[in-house]
Amino acid sequence: MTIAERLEHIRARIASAAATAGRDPASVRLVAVSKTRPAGDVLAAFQAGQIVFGENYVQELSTKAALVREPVEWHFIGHLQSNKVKQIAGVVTLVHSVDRLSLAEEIDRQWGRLGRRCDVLVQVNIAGEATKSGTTEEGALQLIRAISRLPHLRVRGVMTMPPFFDDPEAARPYFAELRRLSLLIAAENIPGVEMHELSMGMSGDFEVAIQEGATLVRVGTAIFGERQYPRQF
Amino acid sequence: MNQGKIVLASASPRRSELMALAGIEFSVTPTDICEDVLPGEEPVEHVIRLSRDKARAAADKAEGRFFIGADTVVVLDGRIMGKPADEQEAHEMLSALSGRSHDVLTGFTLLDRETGVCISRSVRTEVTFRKLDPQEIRDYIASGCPMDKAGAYAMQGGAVHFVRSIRGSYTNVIGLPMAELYELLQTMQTQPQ
Repeated sequence: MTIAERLEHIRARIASAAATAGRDPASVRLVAVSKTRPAGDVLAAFQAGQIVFGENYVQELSTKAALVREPVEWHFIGHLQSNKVKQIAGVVTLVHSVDRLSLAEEIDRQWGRLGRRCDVLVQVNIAGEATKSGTTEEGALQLIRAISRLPHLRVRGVMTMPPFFDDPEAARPYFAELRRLSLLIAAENIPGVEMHELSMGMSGDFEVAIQEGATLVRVGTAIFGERQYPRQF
Repeated sequence: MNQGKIVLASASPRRSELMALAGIEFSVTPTDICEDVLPGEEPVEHVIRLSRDKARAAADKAEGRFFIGADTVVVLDGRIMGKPADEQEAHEMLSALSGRSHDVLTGFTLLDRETGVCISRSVRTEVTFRKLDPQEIRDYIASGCPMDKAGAYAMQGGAVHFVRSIRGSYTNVIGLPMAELYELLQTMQTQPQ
């Protein structure tokens, strides 16, 4: 299958999962995770109507963003080191993975220099896995309150990566928990903080995530095939 | 950078020369498409549409994997100057360009027949002419050079002394923005097979 065919297939699955949950399919945005994939794949997906691309590594994103002149939107979805924020300032439209105040402050500083504002999601480690990034569930509210005081950042929601399971149903409680957390945070009515976005669900479990309210699903393998590690992007 | 045969859908010897200078291996398949400007068509839309039509037309009739189409126009005050129909029109065009700046706009398309991916981009270069006197315009037209050129001139031909300055891609003014084309070729060629 070509990238265009796989995209079409994923869109149909998204629409069907949304319909099952009684949701408008347009309320779910597909983030095509293009990490380790060459820029040519991004062009192929763009031509097939894909706009939002998710990247995990700063250097790789910079290389690709320079090659892709088409009006795509880049999201940063990986672990972000503060000293690399500068390289993606103004390039990405949404950072999914803000998990500590020091990172938020650096984003605020770098976007502030451009006179712009960065939309962010706060990454929450719902399962408390030691190997994953993300603030604790208990720490999320406090972090969001602190971020809300930064002028060049806008919190748009939360993101999580549940533990890996072969059975997508096993991830459901974690998605449901993130949704519950986002409602709790929304109820706090923190000025400047919105809880419209729930970034959760990947190739193996995005349908379950949509049923639990996901507005952004991060799908890579199911669009681009198995990951490749080429020398060139 | 040679994972599939490259075909240039253009009869322009200037474009072929640029491709060769860049060390790109390619073959040439000229196409014969309608180059009329559609009603209400913006210059960028026009050059991109024609570049696509040329790439597709070449892909319909030639062997190969990557097909390059390109179309270059001169744009003055937002209006397209194509190739002059006759010497009278060539004179009008050159007089209009005299002593001021215009844009040279190229649309180019790279079509990968294997994947069906077809990407078009455009590049704009600002060219400023010095003031031309009527006699040198007549001399230039008498050389025959302007008749098959967009805007009735070729910078690398007998009009070298018309151009005071350019801002942007030099090769774009000749007919193919090579840095941008090369970059797109590299990008599309690194797609996994």
